[in-house]
Amino acid sequence: MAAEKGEKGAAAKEVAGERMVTLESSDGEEFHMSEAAAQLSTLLRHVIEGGGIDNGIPLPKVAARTLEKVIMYCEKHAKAAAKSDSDPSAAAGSSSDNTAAASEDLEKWDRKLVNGLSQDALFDLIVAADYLVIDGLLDATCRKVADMMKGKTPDEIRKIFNILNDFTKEEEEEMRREYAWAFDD
Amino acid sequence: MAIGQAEAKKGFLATSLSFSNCRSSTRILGRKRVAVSPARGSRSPHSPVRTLRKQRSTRLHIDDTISLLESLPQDVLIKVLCKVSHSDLRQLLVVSKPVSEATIVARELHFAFATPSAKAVFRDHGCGEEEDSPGAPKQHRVAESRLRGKNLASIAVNLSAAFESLLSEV
Repeated sequence: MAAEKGEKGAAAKEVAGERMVTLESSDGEEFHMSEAAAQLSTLLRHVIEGGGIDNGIPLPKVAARTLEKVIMYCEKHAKAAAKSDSDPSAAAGSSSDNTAAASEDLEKWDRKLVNGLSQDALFDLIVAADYLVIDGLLDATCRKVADMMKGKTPDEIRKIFNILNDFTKEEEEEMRREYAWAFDD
Repeated sequence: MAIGQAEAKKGFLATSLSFSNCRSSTRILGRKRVAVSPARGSRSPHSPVRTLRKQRSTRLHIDDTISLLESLPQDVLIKVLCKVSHSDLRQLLVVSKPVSEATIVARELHFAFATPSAKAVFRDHGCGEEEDSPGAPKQHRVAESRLRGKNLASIAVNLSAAFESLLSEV
């Protein structure tokens, strides 16, 4: 057991039987997350496997407020995965209702997470999920932005996202002419 | 004079010359255009007003605020737009030039074109693709059947040429 710990590096410590990793946000704040949760991030997974992270993993690109949300997401999803793995009836394949309900609950949780964010925080989370390579989180956050665009006119989109229109009238017409048909389906 | 103008063109604000949506006036201070706007009324708590941060893009415009959406790295913006429906993509096409570019790429990825390896945006995966394969993303839509049997690698990067070849098969 000690030899196993040594291989993975001191940053993967055990707390109450669960291996933890230490992360440091861009503003120097320390966070702990279970190794199981960290596995959801392809980047962190590789860093942990690489070893040599004695004093924790610095994440200069991720602010504390954002890292907090990332960890929330990963812990939630890691727990859900562990639960469905250890569920004997799931193995037997007889509780498709339970697994469907569980994944629906998880989706609801994800939506609640992204709905509660300011636009500022949402985009920070998108960038973090992209950087840390957490597919599910990137998916959920991007979908939220796509939802914000749903059924909106260009002008409404500009207002929501504070975008300046840098098309001249002529350029806009040309764009519509040249590409609009390609979007018909 | 010519030098000053050329430098102004490279400046932050000089790129955005059409202020069709802008209710504020602009003034030229030195080489840069600086927007002077009336004091804004109350903004919603979720408005993306944020003063310029140096780690984000230089897309500056009115009020020195930036658009968070446009500040996303282009590959991330494309990933976002891959989640957008086709009818919504049409609207995005004319929102602004950077968004338009990303929209076109997102649409291209939907149609499962072969991605040119030279471009950085295609470094990992296109819309809906998870594996490392260099090939086209998975096709999900029956409407794309006209592309089957076609040598995707031969489809040109040139967008209009590519779309035109599609048209001629209809």
